[in-house]
Amino acid sequence: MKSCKTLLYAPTLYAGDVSGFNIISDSAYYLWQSMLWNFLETKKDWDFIWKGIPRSCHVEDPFQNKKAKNIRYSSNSLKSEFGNADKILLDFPSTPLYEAITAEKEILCFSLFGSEFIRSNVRDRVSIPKDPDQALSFIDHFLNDRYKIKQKSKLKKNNIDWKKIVM
Amino acid sequence: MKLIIVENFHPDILDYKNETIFALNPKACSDLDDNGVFYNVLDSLGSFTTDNKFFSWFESFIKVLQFHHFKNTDLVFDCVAPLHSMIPNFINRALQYEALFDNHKPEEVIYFVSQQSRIREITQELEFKRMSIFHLLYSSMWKMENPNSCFIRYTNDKPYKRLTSRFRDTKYIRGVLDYIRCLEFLPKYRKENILFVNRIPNEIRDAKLKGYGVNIITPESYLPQSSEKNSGIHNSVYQTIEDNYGIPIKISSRILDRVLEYYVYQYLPLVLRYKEAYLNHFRQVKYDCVVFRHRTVPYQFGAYLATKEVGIKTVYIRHGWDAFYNPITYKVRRGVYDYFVCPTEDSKESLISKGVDYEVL
Repeated sequence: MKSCKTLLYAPTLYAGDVSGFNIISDSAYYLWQSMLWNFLETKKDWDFIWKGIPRSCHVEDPFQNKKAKNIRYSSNSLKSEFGNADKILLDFPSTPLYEAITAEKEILCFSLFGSEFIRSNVRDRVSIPKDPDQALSFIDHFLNDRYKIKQKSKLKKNNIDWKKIVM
Repeated sequence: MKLIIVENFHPDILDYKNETIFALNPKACSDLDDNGVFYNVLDSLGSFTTDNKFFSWFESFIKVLQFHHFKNTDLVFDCVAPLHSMIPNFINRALQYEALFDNHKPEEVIYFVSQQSRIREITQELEFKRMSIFHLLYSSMWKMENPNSCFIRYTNDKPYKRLTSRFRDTKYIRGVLDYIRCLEFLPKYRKENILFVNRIPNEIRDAKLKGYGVNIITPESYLPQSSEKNSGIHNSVYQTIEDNYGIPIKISSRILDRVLEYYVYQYLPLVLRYKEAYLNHFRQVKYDCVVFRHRTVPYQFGAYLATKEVGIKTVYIRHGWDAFYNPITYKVRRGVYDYFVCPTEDSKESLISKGVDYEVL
């Protein structure tokens, strides 16, 4: 029987030498992820799913072989893990955020990097911590239900006449 | 002093614990952490980021390349994806390379790198997917000029086996979300003829089974190699990098010559031959619109150029969340397609403000 609540964490890609939009330094992101791993490891009353970085990333995932009692590294698809999670944590507003919205779970999304490039209409949904320590305190509050969730995004279906494209 | 550069971990690095060690990637950092070795990272020397200044310079760089090699056509701009990755990454690494060796002036350098990275395939090299830019810089600059004090230690590690399923990338994120939107899209077009440029495996098959008029042209239709004469890359292309970023022409030309020559004399001519193939196809089959999911490889560029030449409407189905503003991406996507299918309400505001037609599906 499940005794702990579960948080699903989905990271973004490491850039390596192939990204066309260099706003995250790989080494800075690694250091942040290491801090995050150590922080989550101390939260014994929670289980964590650490989503592996997507296969399309050309950089080796440094967390692939790491072990912790309350952290499970997942190589499954993000969507297949939604059902196993109570809350979702994202540290970069990219495709996983779009997918996570469809899960209709509580989401905390923040960005330590490139906040000046985040579109103004998306910025409302993304927290901008001033440093990694503040990001960890956001997560702490989020785990303890003390974090005020920003407006929830909904996918909206609003069809119009497709034929106007070819007229 | 000795300088130890670690691209791949090897136990012999423990013998150099007291020397200056630089880790080049997250896995190297992780392995050094696990072994209790203190290290530096290249970003501590400074990091180049793609800011607005870069984007405006990059446009002028494209114009220089076009002017000298394609007589002022927009070919490079229309097929900019490979350069969009290659150039900023090269600038970043070249600046870090110069800072590292200027600051430390090492008497001896040992570079630990995987045997795997020696394999050089030009198609992958276009985006530096195999041999890292830093490895190229070290091998063709510092090592060449200081042959007696530079060493490369190849590590015999096994090829990296990624645990993450391929399913997530190719079929799930980029497929299923588009799949849903395509299925919503197709019934509206029951009487129209649509060309899907990119392969969307299952939904195309499903659509055909349901009787929709869908055609695809696959990239497997291999075209012969280019017979273009390689007369090298014009010096002014490298001059503009030196003028703006202070990276000497000698460095740019040694690293970029091979990939830019491939791009100019093999890759783009291949695009043009694909364009001809699509034009021939369009003479035989009339389409009402052509749908793109992305435009990053030669046959997709060729399809795009042919579509524009014939004047067929283009539709772009965007996957994921468009949270970041990138002027180059905007120009090569939003500036050129006639209609957008975007995934969320959040994506539409930027489209409205630019006067782009859109649909949220």
